[in-house]
Amino acid sequence: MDIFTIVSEQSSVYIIPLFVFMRNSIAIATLRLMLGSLAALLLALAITQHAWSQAKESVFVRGFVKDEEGNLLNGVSVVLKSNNKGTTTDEKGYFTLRVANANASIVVSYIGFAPQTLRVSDREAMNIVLERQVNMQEEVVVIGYGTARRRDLTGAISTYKPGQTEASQFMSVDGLMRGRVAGLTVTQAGGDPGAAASVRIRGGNSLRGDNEPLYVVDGVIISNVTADNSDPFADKTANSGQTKQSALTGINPRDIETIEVLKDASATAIYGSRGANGVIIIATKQGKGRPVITLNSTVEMASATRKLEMLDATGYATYINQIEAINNRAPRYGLDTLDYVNWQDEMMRTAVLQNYRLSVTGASQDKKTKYYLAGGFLKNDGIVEKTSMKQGDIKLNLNQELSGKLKLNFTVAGSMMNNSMTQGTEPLGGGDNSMIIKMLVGNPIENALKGLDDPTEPFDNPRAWLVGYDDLSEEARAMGALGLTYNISKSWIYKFNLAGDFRTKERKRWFGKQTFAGKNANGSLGMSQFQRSFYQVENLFLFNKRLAKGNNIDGTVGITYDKEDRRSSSVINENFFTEDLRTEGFGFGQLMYPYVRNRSEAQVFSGLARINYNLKNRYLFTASGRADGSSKFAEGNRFSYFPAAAIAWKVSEEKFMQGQKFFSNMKLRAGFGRSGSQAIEPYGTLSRYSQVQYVSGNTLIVGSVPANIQNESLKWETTTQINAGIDMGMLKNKVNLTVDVYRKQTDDLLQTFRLPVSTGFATIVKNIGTIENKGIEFTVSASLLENKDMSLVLNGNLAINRSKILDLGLPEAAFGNNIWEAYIGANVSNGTYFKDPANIFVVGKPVGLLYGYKTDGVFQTKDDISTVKQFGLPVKYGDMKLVDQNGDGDIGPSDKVIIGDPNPDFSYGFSVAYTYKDWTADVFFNGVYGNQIVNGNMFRIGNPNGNNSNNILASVYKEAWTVDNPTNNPRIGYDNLNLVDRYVEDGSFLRMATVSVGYNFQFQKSRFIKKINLSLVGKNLLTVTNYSGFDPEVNSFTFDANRMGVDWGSYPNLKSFSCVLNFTF
Amino acid sequence: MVILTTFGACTKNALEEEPFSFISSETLYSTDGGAQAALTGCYSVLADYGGFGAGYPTLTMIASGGFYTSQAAASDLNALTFGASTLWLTNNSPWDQFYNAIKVANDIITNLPKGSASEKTKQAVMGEAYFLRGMLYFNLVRMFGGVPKRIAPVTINDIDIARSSADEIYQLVIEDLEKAKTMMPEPAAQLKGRPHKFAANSLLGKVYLTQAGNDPTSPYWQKAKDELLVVYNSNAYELQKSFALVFDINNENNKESIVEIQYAISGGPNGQWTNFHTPTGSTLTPLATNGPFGRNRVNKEIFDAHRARYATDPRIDVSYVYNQYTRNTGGTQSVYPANTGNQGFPYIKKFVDPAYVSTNSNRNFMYLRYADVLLMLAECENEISGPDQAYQYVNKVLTRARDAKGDGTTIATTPANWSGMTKDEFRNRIMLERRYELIGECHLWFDVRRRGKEIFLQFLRDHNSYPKLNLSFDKIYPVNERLMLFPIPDKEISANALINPQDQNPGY
Repeated sequence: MDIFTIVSEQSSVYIIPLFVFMRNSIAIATLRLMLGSLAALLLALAITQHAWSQAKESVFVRGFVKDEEGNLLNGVSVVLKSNNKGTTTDEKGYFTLRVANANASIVVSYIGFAPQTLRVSDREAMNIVLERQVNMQEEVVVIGYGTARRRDLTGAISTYKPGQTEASQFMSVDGLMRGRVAGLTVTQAGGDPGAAASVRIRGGNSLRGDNEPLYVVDGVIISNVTADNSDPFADKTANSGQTKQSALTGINPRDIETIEVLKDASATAIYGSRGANGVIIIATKQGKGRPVITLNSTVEMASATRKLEMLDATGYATYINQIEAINNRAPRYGLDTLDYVNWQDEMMRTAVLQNYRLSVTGASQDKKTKYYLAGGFLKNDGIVEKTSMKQGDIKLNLNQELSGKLKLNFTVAGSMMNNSMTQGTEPLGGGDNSMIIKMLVGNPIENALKGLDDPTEPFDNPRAWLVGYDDLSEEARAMGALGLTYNISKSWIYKFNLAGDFRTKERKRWFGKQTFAGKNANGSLGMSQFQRSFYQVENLFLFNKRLAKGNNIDGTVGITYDKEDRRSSSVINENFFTEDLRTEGFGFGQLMYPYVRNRSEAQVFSGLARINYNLKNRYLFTASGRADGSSKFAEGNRFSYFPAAAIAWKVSEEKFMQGQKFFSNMKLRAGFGRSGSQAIEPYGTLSRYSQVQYVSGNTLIVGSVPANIQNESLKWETTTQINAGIDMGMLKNKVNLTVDVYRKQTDDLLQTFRLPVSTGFATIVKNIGTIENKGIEFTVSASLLENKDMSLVLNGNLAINRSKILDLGLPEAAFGNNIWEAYIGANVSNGTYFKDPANIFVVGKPVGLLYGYKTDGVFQTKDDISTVKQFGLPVKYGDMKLVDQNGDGDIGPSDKVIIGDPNPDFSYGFSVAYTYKDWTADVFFNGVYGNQIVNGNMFRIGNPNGNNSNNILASVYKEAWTVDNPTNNPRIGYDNLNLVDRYVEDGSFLRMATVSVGYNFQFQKSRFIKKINLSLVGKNLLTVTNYSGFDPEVNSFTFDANRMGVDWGSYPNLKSFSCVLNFTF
Repeated sequence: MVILTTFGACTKNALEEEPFSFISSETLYSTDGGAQAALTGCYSVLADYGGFGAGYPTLTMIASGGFYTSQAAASDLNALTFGASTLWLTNNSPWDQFYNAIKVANDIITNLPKGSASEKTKQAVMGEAYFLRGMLYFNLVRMFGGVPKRIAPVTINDIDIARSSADEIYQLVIEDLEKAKTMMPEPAAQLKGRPHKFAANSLLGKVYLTQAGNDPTSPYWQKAKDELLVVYNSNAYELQKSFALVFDINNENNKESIVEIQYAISGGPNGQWTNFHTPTGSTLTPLATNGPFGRNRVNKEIFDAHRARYATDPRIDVSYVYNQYTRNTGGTQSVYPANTGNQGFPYIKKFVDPAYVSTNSNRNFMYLRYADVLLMLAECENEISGPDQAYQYVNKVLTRARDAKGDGTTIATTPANWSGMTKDEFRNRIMLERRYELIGECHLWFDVRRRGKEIFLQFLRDHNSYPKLNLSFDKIYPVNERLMLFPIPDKEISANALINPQDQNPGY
């Protein structure tokens, strides 16, 4: 609100009682603010008195409306305050208006700008400069196939506008969003550069694993964030799977203007069959004003948030000798001359991350051409040796006015990425093929490792993963969009958009002779290629009609079509006579496996419509519908309809609210809608035969086998959601609070069912089951202090989500002592340890509960163990005491019970930003509470069995049960292969995710440089948690819904210090 | 508007899926080549890692009670303390792989007749598909007892099915093999390395023999003998001149071979015969850079019994690596009986392939061979009429065994021809003789169980009381009749709505 509004609408009489309700700093801050306002008020009064004195009868008012940069604004509404009648500015920003008398006030308003109320003046043409909207309620929000003012929104949409410093700290969109938006959670398999992160909005809708939201970047749909290269070794039982990499590449956080998170179905239904998991709309920066050049440089030093205390050389030797004694063998190590190596120190380093970016934004003199051009380079080394990522990208946004009615938008972005990874979480679960687990369990006696075939060459120890393993990928991506906007009439606009996204990626994995797999194969090279091309065409008609009495109707109708083509291929080459070429040595291996290739296509054709009706600027109605046809479904199920409707009531606009000044904004919203998911592989409705090889006379012959069970009845998964929310702005919008409650139900879940193996198939995708997510989200922002020199802003969000499985379409069966409609998740590992599935999915309970054995300490010498059996075998003192749930005197799978819940009670984030003159400081915390994690690494480092000469945690050794030290921890030599509650840990944490201090150097007199912003940023410097693994913010099997809440060889997270420099020219 | 209309017109076609990278049932079964490809597909699947490639030998050797493994992850299998989630049942399990192959056979049996391949090809391919399905169900019913009976392609509506009784499965096996007998190609018309019609008789003989159990009055002995005699009289097979020739890598798919699963270094199904059984870093596999794993090995008492019985038997040197072997890097490695530590187990030598590299080899697996037919015939004859008419068959095998070089120049003193035994004596001896002749060929698990639990439990006790065990490595087995069958794998029970934990085999 500007001071003129205050003059006309507010008197000091109202201000004073308000102070009564205030306390502490808020009160003081507000008081200062109010006093400041009061001074302005007195000044304004003086001015307006002057204007009154010169009032005349019936006059013409004329003038120009410009923005702060001097651009003339077309279509600005200029109305008389008294009767809302008026005009709009023409292309030259000019208006004339006849007013009854010189005492009249006019209201000048324009989307995206703060409205102004002015006394008219007939002296000369008024020169009105509108200021860009700082009030959050006036923000223009991208809502999918159109825009709306925030104050007119009817759905649950959260906006995150990253500041320059924030954006400079992150190299990926998911990192940037973490903890910033209520109801949006980001989990990552670890701090490995390029590793895939998973984003969830309001919990997981599906049990399929692909719960990723839809990303729309400058109108381009990016729906395949999980798309990645195939694993060449997948069929070769190499027990070594390929770690997933992120497919959300080529979008640089520094280019991002806003991130809109569409959460409820009334907002997402316009995206139809892709909207079920929520939609994240990313708008990149557009050109404006005079040319501004920004140069950004970020240098970051990172190290592991935590290291684990394993046994040192002497401790390890003692431990192993003790194991040998238990097995009646001679000691393996003398205790002197042990050469200790701490593998974590050896394998992890302080990584340097560098990031440079140059951007130019501006507009031509005639304002007809606007451009934003950016390009940059980053090189990020991982904290684990040899991991790194290099990326270069360039982006251009161009807006060109072709004629008075026709505008062109053009955007193109290209990026190249090189990535070097090592094996963290082993996707097939075998622990030995993971550098992280090797780093923990590796024999810490360096001289014991030598003496294998070649004493100078490490074999299968952690260092072998440096010397003998490469995982290199190279990716190139180009995204482009071309849009034409034609103003058909005052109310109608036609938009044509053509967009494309092309991604190509090569990934090569080399196993040298130092690794187990490479030694067997005499060098093994797997190569895979992935190519995805996508294009979309949109034809949209947008209309906007102002009706009488402040009513307004606007909307969109359109037709869209898109097509995706994916090609992947892979090949293995083995038995190399030279290892020199490593990943580039393709063809030098004697053994060539058949080349595997796959191609698929999928199309979606849609019609969509939305209408918004604004009644008296108080009641807002939205209705939308979309019909989607997808090639993934058979005729009959091909089309589906996704309706949505929402209403909002701007309570604060009502007359009865005008008398109070506490609430500057209050809006109640309620909405309902359906959205869908079709995130399955194509061709599920067809019966397919793939090719295989057999042998005749030592040469290969080709055969063909059925590849799937045909399921013609496949159809959309639908999510129906109701949402109610309230937006409140208090104290002139100094404090904003949004609360949303929702319930969403997902029916016809597209589930990848594990089939009985007797079918001859592993899985099938079926529409079965129903799950529910309900929750409440709070978002608060408070400007506690704001004056010329100083500001203090607090932002916070909190989300509570409860999931519940309502139906699985399964018959009830016995699970231990319970009769449940349930199924068990996937086996975590293919290897020796953690073979058990970790999760169970039970009707009536939250998804993915942890399922295993309860323990009750260990057997003590006072216990009678003569008749005790576990898995049919007798036990010893110091063995884990598994609880015999069914009382049958033995322990078996029927004694498994629920031992944890990986779903948090709530998740939250909050930040405090403080500025003082040219200083800025902010701190951002995020956290979750009440979830449990299976610390799968405990199967190795917490299991003192001595197997494979594994090292263990120092504490596990020291606290092991002995006759003299009868603790409740397993004895040395005891082996546990089962998922027990001992390995389930509290995953709650509170983390100081970032803290930064910055200073702006202003150079007002320099013609060359305008500003230098220097920030020092610390990331993850403080984490409060009881979790004993590397990091509580972990999910090793990010995209696998059948393996939830598991930490299995995940990378440590990183803590870092960075120095961010932004130069503005 | 033009654009809108264009879209309207092409919607229907645009949303029709265009297949790439795969074919349809109609395409596959429309030609003779396609029908053969379907059959090739079935072989490829059954031969792969979880099937005959690695899963089948690992389970039937390691869990037999006569073998040892150094694979840590299979230690429960080795100790016979395993349950339904043991590694080789949940991961790369014959249960998976054989059902996977049955799926292919069912697809052929159901869809090939609808296709337009020639009648001749249809008959031959159908016959072979019946044979393979019968063979696979026979393996399953012996290993797991009554199993789900699938005889048609799985549809979305019959994903879950319950266990059938063992009798029903045996009935299916017999029906399939009967059909195979009449439809499979004559020996001359079949490709080298593929079974012909007498393979169906041979296997049917083994089915009846298994059903006869330990009951001397069982009518199955006669049924088995009838089938085996058809084979015997056909002269379709013959013993190789020497025992060594049977396993000569350059003499694969020889005339003794009845059912042989094919493997090649260059790819195809993943067969681990050389890798799992041949010693590590020995001169037997000169090209190996690491391995072979050599992890599935014979128990001490099994090896010692053979040597004690037939000290000079040439089969010993062909069947086992014992005492020591020469390392690739020079020097020797001692093994049992010279070594009784972690090398205190002889290796199986039958599956050596000098071309072995990178865990791959050309080594085929002989699922059924003629010597087995002769031993079965002898066993049947003894049960039906006593030893007198039975000697002729077993003595053919023993005579061949003594001829070390197969040219009559080097005749060993043992094993001598049999004579003068009682019926019971003959029965006991023939069961032992099967171990010596067929060691490592995956018959032991079945042979020690098919005559009933008392005989099996005694077999376990004999191991447990063997004086030469080294308890740091050898396992003491639980003497438990649950080991007569493998458990239905956990993952079948958890995914199959019609098989519940209470339907599990006894004792698991």
